[in-house]
Amino acid sequence: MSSVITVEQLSRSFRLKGRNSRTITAVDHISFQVQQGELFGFLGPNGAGKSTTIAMLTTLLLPSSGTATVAGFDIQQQRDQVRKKIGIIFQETTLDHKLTAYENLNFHGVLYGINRITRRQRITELLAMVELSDRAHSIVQEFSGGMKRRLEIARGLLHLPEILFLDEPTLGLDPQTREHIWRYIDKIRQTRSMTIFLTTHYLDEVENCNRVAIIDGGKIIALDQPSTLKTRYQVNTMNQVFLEATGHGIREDELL
Amino acid sequence: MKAYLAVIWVLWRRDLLHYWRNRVRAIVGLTMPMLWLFIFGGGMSSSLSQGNTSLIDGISYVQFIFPGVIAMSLIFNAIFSALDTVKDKEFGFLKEILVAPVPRSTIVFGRSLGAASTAAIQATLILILGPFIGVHLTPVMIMLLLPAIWLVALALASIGIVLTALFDNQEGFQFVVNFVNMPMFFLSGALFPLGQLPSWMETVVRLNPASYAVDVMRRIVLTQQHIPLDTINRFSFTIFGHNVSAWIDIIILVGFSAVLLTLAARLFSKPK
Ligand SMILES: Nc1ncnc2c1ncn2[C@@H]1O[C@H](COP(=O)(O)OP(=O)(O)OP(=O)(O)O)[C@@H](O)[C@H]1O
Ligand SMILES: [Mg+2]
Repeated sequence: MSSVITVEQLSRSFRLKGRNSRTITAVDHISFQVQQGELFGFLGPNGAGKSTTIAMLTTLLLPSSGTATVAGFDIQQQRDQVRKKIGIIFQETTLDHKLTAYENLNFHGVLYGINRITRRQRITELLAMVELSDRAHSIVQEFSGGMKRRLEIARGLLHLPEILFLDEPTLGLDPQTREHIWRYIDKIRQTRSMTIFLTTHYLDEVENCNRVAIIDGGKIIALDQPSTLKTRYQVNTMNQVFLEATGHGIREDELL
Repeated sequence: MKAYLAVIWVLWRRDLLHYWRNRVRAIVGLTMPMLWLFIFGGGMSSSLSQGNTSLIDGISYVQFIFPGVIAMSLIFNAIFSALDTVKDKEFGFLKEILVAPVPRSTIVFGRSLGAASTAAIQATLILILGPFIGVHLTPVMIMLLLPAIWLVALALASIGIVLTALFDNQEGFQFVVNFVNMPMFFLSGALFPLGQLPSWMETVVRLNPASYAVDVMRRIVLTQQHIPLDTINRFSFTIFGHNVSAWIDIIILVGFSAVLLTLAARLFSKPK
């Protein structure tokens, strides 16, 4: 197995403005590797630095220090090559609410240079997969939260990325929709050897991960297979592992 | 290159779709120009024409401000539609574009073309009001005005896109836009002739891109109405001691757009 994401001593700090003006370190010298085809769980309490890490790996944010390669390309020097290889579902929705589902997907397809015939064919397939075919020409504004999320998953897959970043893909969804979304994700993983980098607060979802990293206060405090982690903390679920590793206090209060 | 143009096209099309889906706004957008023309222009025309019937040499005040009102509509719509990009930033859609393997300059060109098109369509609608205030629209006038409207729209949209690169939230953007738009409109010659201004004001007029916008459109409208060049020049201003002309206006507007679009492309390309 070869690693498709290699992170070395990656850090990012922010200057807070206003009355609480100071510098905070959101990501603090983290290092890890993700293997080809892996389902990699990236866990941590609110404000731990998960989204900031994803923003750096997806070229949207420059690191303050450290380096990383994604699909073999440097995230600072070879941004366009990285961008071609990745797909991302952001934590907050990034659909155009004034366009239809189809138009959102078509827009995405053009951005990634997919030709018209392939575009049309894949859009039809993906809309069927996320069960939105009958709403293809509805304005996204009229969609429920679950429908929007499914559409975003379809969009993230449209250009056949090698690595898919999922930042809380099932946030705010009911158990049925979550189950559906996981069924799509499993289907994709079976048909294509796609690497998935996942963050979530629903810890039952990470039981199936190949490996899980836990980040807290910008630092990685654990990284292993779920079974190994459970043995180490002598517990039965990933939920318990999480609480054992990160403690029971609300971490964000300490940061502020 | 083909892919580059496809991305610009799809961004452009998105703006037109938004405009089309919100076409009530297009109708509502006509009320402002109507107020300026019929109420403000009509009122000023009648009070200025005690005795003789026109401002100068056969033009009523309302005919005088007609090109100015078109320019006003362009100033407000072209700069303001940049607000959509600020909203894209705020509501996240911009990330969808930024994470894609496309050069940042496509965003700048796609969005400014979109903003320019919708503003130009809106301004073109105002032409329909011309006959009601005694502006006789000829085919030649329309054929000259349409490209002028587009050029002016692009120049003003490029101001908007530079501003969007600088602001992350709607409040800040709106504050600055209001702060920019009003003086730009008042100091453009849209509402009064520029011939007899105090010199500090004339300096500001020369630095104001909207002055060239008003001037080029007024020159087209009045020339086509057979108003002598001398009269038109009296409404206008001078640079380096020379009367401006439609060609000077065009060159300045093209140059201005090029500089601002390049600047915007630079600003958007700078990684965070
Ligand atoms: N643009 C920014 N400006 C200032 N501070 C920021 C910015 N983005 C993130 N931060 C700070 O960095 C820290 C990490 O934020 P991040 O969004 O990465 O957390 P997270 O692990 O994704 O949390 P959550 O589970 O709540 O999504 C937080 O303290 C946050 O306040
Ligand atoms: Mg997050």
